[in-house]
Amino acid sequence: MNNNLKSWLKKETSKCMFCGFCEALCPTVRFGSHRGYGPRGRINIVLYLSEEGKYTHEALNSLYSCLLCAACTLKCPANIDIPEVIRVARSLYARNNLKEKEEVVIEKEVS
Amino acid sequence: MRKRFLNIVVDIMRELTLKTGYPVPMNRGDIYSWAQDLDIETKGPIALYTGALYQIMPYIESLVAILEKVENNRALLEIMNIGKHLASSFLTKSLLRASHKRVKISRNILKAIALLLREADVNFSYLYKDDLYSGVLLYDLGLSESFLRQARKVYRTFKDRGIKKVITVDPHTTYVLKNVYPKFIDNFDIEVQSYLEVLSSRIKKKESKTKLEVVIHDPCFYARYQNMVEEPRNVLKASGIKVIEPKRSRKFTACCGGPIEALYPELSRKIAMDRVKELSSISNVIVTMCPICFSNLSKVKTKEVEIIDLALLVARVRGLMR
Repeated sequence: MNNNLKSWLKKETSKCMFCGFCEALCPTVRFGSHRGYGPRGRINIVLYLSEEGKYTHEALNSLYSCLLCAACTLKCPANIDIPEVIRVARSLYARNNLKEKEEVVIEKEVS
Repeated sequence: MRKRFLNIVVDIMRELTLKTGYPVPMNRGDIYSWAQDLDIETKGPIALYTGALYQIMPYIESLVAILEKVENNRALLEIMNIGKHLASSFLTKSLLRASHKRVKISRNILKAIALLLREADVNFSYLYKDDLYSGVLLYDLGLSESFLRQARKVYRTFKDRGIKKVITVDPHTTYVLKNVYPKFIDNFDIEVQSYLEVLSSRIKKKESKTKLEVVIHDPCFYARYQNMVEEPRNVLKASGIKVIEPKRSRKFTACCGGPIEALYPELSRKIAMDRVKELSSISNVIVTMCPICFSNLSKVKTKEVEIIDLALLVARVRGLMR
């Protein structure tokens, strides 16, 4: 189920080299309680989720506290589409937990 | 607790959008009341499409005020969860009242946009009761299926009315129509342009007597997602307004914190305070061009600072509005 989205997420998040350049630009990481409130943390949480990791409270906080402001993308040397990763990860969660059924949109989302 | 809060809030917004067309309980009439005495055509291939975001924000503000209280109160949270089923009822509508003053600001901003377009000799019609919400919030929250349903509704309305081009008024609606609708809807063939793009090339130069200096706050969805930074500056400069750049400006702009105001009210507030501090250290007049930025920055500003929407400021300077 949802394999297309998951494999896309895994491919995209695996590009992260942990440099953390993104954190300097992220508005939420400065005020969050841990690094999961920054892009590097978010990307690696999504990587963990795409490998059948659990949606814990803090994993969800990390996903849903993202502003999708895309400031992080300005400095990502791996060119990861960070806001899109977050949005697709949310849609994966919504499909399994928030009564959203998967529909034809799956292919279109990651193209 | 967090998980439950998140699930409930997201669910409320989805259910409301699917049932009523808008993510918060509100009157349909509030969407187009701003156009009341403007006599805009109802038919025509080029339509002004507000996507209702400016009109919705006063209600979101009231909702956030409630959520700020509910965030750490389990019992209230569960009551809200039940309440969502009564979304369209009188009870919910009277609980969630937007401030009259705030509703009026949104109305004036939209009016200013229409008057500016008119001044620049742009021909356009307006959708009135068919001015539907774009569903952008559902998209951001990853509710793709619900978003798709809303998007189809919007597209069908455009088609039924024979619309070929829409002029949008805010960065989020512009982005979602230009970049996301074509991905989700087969053969999407509506041309989309923001009012700032339209005005940027058509607005007539006007010298102003007052030497107004303002600091500009770029919205992420214009500056980063659509690479639109010169257009708003052109419109301001053409009206004789001096634009001062903050440290984080253009594509390096800093987010207002608004997109997470419903799910993380406290965090959102801190981010807004940080941004207002930065902007107000440069000028006491902050110009925004997004209803979410306006809302979130206004919430935390001090008395000495004025936050004004670009359209309203320009329309006033040009003598189109009081």
